[in-house]
Amino acid sequence: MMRTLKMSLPVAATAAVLALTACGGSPSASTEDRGSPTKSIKVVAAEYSSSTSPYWQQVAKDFTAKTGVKVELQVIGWNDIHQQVSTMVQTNQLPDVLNLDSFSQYAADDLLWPAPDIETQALRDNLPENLRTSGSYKGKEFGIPLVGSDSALFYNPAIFKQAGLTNPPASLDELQSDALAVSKLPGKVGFALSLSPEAPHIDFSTFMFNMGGSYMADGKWAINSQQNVKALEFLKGLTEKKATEVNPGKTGRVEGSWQLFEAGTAAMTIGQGGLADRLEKSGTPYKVAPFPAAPGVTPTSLGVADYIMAFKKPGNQDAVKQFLDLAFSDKNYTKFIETEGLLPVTSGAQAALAQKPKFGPYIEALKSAKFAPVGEENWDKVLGAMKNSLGLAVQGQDPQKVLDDIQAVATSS
Amino acid sequence: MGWLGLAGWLGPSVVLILVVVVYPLIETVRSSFQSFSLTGAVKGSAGWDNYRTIIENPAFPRVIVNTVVWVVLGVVLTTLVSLPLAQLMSKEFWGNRFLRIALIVPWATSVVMSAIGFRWILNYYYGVLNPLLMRLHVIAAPVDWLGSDRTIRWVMIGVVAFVSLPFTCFALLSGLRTISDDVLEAAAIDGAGRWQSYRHIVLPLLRGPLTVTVLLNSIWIFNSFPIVYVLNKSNPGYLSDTSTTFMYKVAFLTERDVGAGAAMSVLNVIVIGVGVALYVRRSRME
Repeated sequence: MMRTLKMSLPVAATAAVLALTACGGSPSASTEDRGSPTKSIKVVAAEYSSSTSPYWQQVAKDFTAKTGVKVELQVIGWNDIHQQVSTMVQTNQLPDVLNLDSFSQYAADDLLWPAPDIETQALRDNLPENLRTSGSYKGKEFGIPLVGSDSALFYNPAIFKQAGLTNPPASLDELQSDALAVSKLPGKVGFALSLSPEAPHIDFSTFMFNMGGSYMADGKWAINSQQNVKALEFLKGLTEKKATEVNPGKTGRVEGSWQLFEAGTAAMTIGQGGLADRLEKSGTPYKVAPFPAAPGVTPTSLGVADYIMAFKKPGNQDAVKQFLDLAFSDKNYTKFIETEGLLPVTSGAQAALAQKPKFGPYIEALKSAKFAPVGEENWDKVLGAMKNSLGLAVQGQDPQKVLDDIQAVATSS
Repeated sequence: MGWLGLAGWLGPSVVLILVVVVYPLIETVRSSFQSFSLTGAVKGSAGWDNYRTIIENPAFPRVIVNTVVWVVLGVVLTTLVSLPLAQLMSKEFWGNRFLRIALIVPWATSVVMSAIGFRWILNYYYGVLNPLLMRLHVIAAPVDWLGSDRTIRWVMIGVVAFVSLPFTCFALLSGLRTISDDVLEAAAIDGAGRWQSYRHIVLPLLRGPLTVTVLLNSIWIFNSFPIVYVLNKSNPGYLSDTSTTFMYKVAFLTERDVGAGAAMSVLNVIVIGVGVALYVRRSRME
């Protein structure tokens, strides 16, 4: 109590000064900066599906009813949102709240509120640590995860049976021998691996994490670490032994490895909820299992999250805080996640949906998921370099050299 | 009329050219001398650094060779196939109309759609080409047409020629139509064989349309981003890229270096500028 009292004194003084300047009728820069509470906020969100808009409209309605602050809502499709937000930033028509798949570029330009400044304690407590800290830029949280996804091992029990296999692989060695056994069947592929420029980091990260590797060690880039090289060599080995499809370095994901699995050609692949939806439609038999890990390594998967961020504008902090609290409220948020089929990032919604078969295994995996350092300054360049060269490691180039080159991009200024 | 009339006639196209061509061109040239942050914000002047970066890129020589091979062989193949096709179309025979319609279809289809169609036709696992060639005993095992570095180049040249055929055929056909039957009859009376009259009468008279199609096709194929991009997009590295896809990848996909991409783009514009200048000179001569 003492603390709050001490704190409130300077606040009261400032308020008095503000009132005085306001009376003087000379709106100065300082009044602008402190800002009187805003009358309306602009919310820009990415459209995941047709049920995205109703969710934000509901949140906006609740928010306006509670605070009297109006909401100007724009829900924009993924194809256009990056370019439109860039235009908003360049023309200084910043949104107050933004939902996007990246945040660090705006944190780097010092445009964002640090996440703790716009999270209510209840919201903060509701976010599991691995997800909460995934939104960090230079060790400080700026992005609040909104939705997550992660990957798991998909396998086709019918093909497994044909190859005389019953259980999903429990180790990486088993994964390799199972894949080889399937590849011996005519016209079948053991493990569909995707390392083409589409999104090679997903499959690579999954193997890398489960073989004890990581992108960074002690806060520094470690892409060419020994474990990572070993992981890439393992993938090269899979390819050369023909345990994979013909050319994983040139196979994409949505049209590539997933297509092979969906068509019943491949027995295993790394997939997400999106693949499960496709398989339900096509009727391809499938089961989902945790990805096997090397001895002594805790099984994990690559988590991916989209983020909410708030732009620093005078007088918007409190409104944003209230808005986010409602956006993540169990009532609104759980329904949103359930209709979108994405993974929940709050402990509350995770618990509420854990029993549903559509969510259960993925939520479990998300709890132990690791995240790529998406907030690091050079991440976009690292991702670009991975897209352009990871695939080369399974078609003749030395994995060590490939990773050395990516490390060089990561550590360049 | 006078000034007002002139402005009325020329105004709209001048405005269009200023907005659609000149302004972006100026912006591109300006960008090529600036350095950018990842969000696209200008960080300051870069001098000639962007040009140095792009030229010193280890893939640059390879990309240039690819581009030259791609344009030259694309144009040659297009021309060689178009000449007999145009000749065929100029004759009256049953099914002639069908041939013309068949030839127009690839023209009416968007290039991106054609390229995506070929992606599926050539797919290693599910494409229709591999089983067909195997049944015909042309190949013994399926070929990864788009994945193998040995085949993709030829596939891309074949596809670009396929897409360029309609325009070239119809341009040559209209050229053939201008050759009067009297000339050919006279040649026949003078004892010229079919090949002789083609070689010495038809081809020289076709020189005008031929030069135009070669020049326009060179510019068009050089600029043809979608075919290379769509067919080559699953391949890591720059092994099969031409200068336009290289520019795009450097700017937006791999190196994320907008400045260097703009520099490459300026180099591309210069090459096209030369092609256009040749074309304009050629049209003036006529």
